[in-house]
Amino acid sequence: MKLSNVFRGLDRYQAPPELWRMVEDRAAMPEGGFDEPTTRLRRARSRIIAVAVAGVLSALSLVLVFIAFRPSSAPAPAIGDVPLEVVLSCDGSGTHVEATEVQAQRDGVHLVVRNLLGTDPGLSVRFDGRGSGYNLAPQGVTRLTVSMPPGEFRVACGVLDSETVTTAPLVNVVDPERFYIPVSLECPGDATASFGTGIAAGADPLDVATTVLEPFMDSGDTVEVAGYPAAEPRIVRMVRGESVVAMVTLVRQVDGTWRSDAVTGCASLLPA
Amino acid sequence: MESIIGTRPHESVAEVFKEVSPRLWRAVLAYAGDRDVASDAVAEAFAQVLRRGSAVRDVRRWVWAAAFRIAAGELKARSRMVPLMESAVEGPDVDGILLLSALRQLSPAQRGSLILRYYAGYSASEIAPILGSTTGAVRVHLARGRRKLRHMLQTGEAR
Repeated sequence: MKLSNVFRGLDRYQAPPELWRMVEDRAAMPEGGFDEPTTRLRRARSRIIAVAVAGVLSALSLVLVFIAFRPSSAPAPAIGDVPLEVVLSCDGSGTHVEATEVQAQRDGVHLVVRNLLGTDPGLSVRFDGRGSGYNLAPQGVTRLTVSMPPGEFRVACGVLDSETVTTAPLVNVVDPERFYIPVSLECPGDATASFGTGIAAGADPLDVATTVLEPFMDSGDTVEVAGYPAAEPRIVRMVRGESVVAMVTLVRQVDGTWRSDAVTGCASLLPA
Repeated sequence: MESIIGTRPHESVAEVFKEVSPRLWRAVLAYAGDRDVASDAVAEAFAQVLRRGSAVRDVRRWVWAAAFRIAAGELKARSRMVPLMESAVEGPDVDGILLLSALRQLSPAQRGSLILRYYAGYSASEIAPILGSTTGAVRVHLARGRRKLRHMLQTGEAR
C-alpha cells in the first residue's frame, strides 16, 4: 500500500470558498503572536532563561516563607476534604481513580492522568449525555481541565463503548463555590441554530460576545459569562427572561485576546 | 483576489494563497480533524503574513509552519483533541472518511509527520521545524505512524 496514494484521498475535500475573506478579516485585526521559526526559537530561549531564573528565585522565596511560617498541622486540601483534582491511572488492568468526588475550580474540573501503558490510549469522558476525548502522553502524567458541569461523569482510558460506558469509574463533581453557570439553551420547540455572525475579537470576552450577539438582542436581554468563569474556551450566554437563548464560544488567541469561535442560539432569534 | 498589502515585490500573498491554500487546508484538516480549526489556522497563518509584509522571507514555508502551529495550539487551547466518539467524520467518500478516522487514532506528532511527508511532500528535516521537533524524532514518528496507519487501513480498524 503506497501511502502517498492513500493520502490523495484528501484531495476530494474542499476548502470553504470564503477562506480568503477570512484572511482579510483577520489581517485587519490586532496582530497575533506567531513568530517566524528562527525568531521564535531565539525568543523562546530568552524566555526559558528568564523563566528558569524567576523559578529558582520564587522557589527559594517559597522555601524561606515555608520555613518561617510552617504550620503545626497540614491544612485541609479543599472544602469538605473533597480533592481539587481527580487522579487517574491507566494500566494494563484498566482505569483506576483515586477518589470518587472532585471539587470544581474556576476554570473547570481538573484531571491528572498517570499513563503507565507506554502508548496513548486516549482518555474518554462522558457527562450529561455527551462525550469527549483527549490525548494522553504515551508515558507519564497528563493534566487536563474539562468544562463539565457539576454532577456525575464516567471516565476511561481508551474508548467508552456501549458496555464500558456503564462500568467505567464514576466520579461526582461538586461545586460548593457555585462557579458553574448553566449553558444549556432553552428554546421554543428545542429548535436551535448556528448563527453566522462573522468574526469579532478583543481583550474582553464579554465585550466580544456582546458585539456578536447585538443583532439578536432585545432590550432587557442580559449577556454574561457562563460555564466556568475562567474556562478556556470561554462561554458567554444571552438570557431573555428566565431562558438562555444564545451562547458564544470564545477562544483565546496567541496574543491573549479573545475571538468568537461559534455562536448558537434559538432558531426563533433568526429573522423569518 | 487582490492582496491588501503591496510589500512583496515578486508575487502577492494572494497569489501564494491561491496556489498553496487548498492543499494546506486539507493537510490541516487531516491533522486537526476539524474543518473550523483548519479554516481558522490557514486564515490566521495568511493573515499574519499580510500583517508582517516583507518581514516574512519564505511565505510558502512560513504558512505551513504557522498553520500547523496554530492548529496545534487551537486544539490544545480547547483542551481537546479529535473527539474519540460521537463525532462524525464528514467527507465526500468512504476512502476519505476512513483515512481521517485512521489518522485521528495516531498521536498528533505521528499524524502531523505523516501528513507533511506523504501529502505535502516534505522531508523529515523539513518537517522538524514545522512541528517544532527534531529530525530524528520525526523519523521515529514517521516509522511508527506508517506502521499503525497501514495496519488500521488494512484491517479496517479505523472507525
